[in-house]
Amino acid sequence: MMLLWIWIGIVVSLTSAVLGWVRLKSGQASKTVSFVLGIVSCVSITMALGVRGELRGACPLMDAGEVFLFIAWSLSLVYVLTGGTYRVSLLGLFSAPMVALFLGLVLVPGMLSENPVRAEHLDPWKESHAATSVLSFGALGLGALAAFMFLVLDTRLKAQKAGWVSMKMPPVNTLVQSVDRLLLLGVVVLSLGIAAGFVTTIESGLSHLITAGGVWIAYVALLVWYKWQGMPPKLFARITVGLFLLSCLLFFII
Amino acid sequence: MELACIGLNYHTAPVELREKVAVSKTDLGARSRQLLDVPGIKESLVLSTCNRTEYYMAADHAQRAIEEMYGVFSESSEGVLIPEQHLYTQSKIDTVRHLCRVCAGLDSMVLGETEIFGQVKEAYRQAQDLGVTSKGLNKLFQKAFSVGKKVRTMTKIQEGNISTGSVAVDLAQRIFGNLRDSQVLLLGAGEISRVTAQSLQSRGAKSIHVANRSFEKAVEMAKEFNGLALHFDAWEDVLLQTDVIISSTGAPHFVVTPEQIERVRKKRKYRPLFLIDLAVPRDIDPTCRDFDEVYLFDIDSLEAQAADNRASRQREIEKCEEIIEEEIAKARLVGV
Repeated sequence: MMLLWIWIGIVVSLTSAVLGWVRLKSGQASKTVSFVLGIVSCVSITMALGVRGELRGACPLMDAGEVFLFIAWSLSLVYVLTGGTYRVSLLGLFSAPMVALFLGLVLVPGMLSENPVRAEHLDPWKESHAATSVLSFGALGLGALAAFMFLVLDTRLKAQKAGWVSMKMPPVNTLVQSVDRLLLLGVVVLSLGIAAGFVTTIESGLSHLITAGGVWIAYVALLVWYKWQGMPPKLFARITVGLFLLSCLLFFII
Repeated sequence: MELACIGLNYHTAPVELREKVAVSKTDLGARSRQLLDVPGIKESLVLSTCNRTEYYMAADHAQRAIEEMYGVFSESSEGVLIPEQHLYTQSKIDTVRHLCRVCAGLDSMVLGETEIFGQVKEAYRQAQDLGVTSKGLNKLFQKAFSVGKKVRTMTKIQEGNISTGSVAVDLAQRIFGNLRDSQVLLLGAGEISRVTAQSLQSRGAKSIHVANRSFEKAVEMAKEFNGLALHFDAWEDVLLQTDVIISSTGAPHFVVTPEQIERVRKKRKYRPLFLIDLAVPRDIDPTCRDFDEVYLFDIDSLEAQAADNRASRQREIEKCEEIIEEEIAKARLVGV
């Protein structure tokens, strides 16, 4: 049943991406279509997580497949909650393939344990730590996507070639503001996750603490520097994308 | 009953002739009513814009009505005879096709422009108010309106700006979004700067500074935009809060240099700065674009963008014509 929900999520996300690009190219981009498909995708991933959670008897964040599933969920959830607010309509178009990618990774053999061990006892702090930490990556991931969109637009404008894609994209200022706000949201949620981690015992111990702390410090430093000292938007966007990729890699390694 | 049309436009007649037969906006209905005095004409409507004057009719016999109308056109031209080669006529189904093309902007000087749609609607409203249209022209115009809308929705015929000024404003919106909070600095008080600043103001830009070597001219232009005039050597003082610079001075050297921008970058907190160089020789050192937050467009790149948009509209014509033919084939009109 869980696999069915994942496949639904993949198909809906890919449909959203393809439909979005086709409509954009034909000059009829629709925020509503991306938004509605984003909701459908989010619901299907929630259902998949629900099924997995039932099997685990706990928050399903115990193997790589579950982490990817959770990241896909947090990406689609944060998009649904914030996409409309910041009017970054094309964010849905860019995030849909990313959601499909993470869901695809879940299906890679070996990622999802076939016989998940049922949790013997529940540690709410540990579960909160895992859930909020991964959830923060949804916001940080969307921030990276908005930063990527900025870099695409910036490259076109710098080359003095606006083109049709740039004309459909949100303005430079809106994208930079979105990156800023999504990073702030991500850092706040990540802070809660780290705080919850201090109350419980994490098996991976010191390396986990150093990585989480390092990622948190890097994001906080970036935001503080950006807000107080200012920074060229291109540099801000590049660091945002790089930091997200690096932190994903680090967490995958540990 | 048959539909017919006679008229002249910018394709067929020079402005000297077009102005002779032009009907003022307020007289369109009255003029339409006058046409009913012509024998055989049952319904009539006059459309007159700066680019065209056309009479639409529903008559007992289209060809006969057109022949009568040649005389009416000449009468309306302040005694100047309008040679027949400057006039065109359409009858029956061709009248429908022509009006649909007009409403879709395919027959306009600026391909795909939207103003014509409102002008046709206004002419129709006036004629309808005076009761000079009935079943024939009502169906014709309603059909043409729906086809015009469909063409504009289903194709890219009105997409992309085709003047350099509008392209510059579009780009400013790509950078800043809403221009309400953007501060504009005009370097030079030339016509091209004025037109671009006008476009920016029409899309929300409120704060405009004008710096010019002749301070009187700067004051004059600043007054027009409700802005502030600056002595030319004082423009750097407002660079800190400026978002858009439009430069079109006659200077033989660069007026805006990287050193000037470098001095305020940090204080500006690296906010985006949009530089529009409309001058030849160029006013803005092209190396200014090496700063991450600076977007520089010169006259060539703006013109290239406008030309791309014009070409893109041209490519849509075939698609528009197809929609028009499909819709005409489906329509059940009177007098075709």
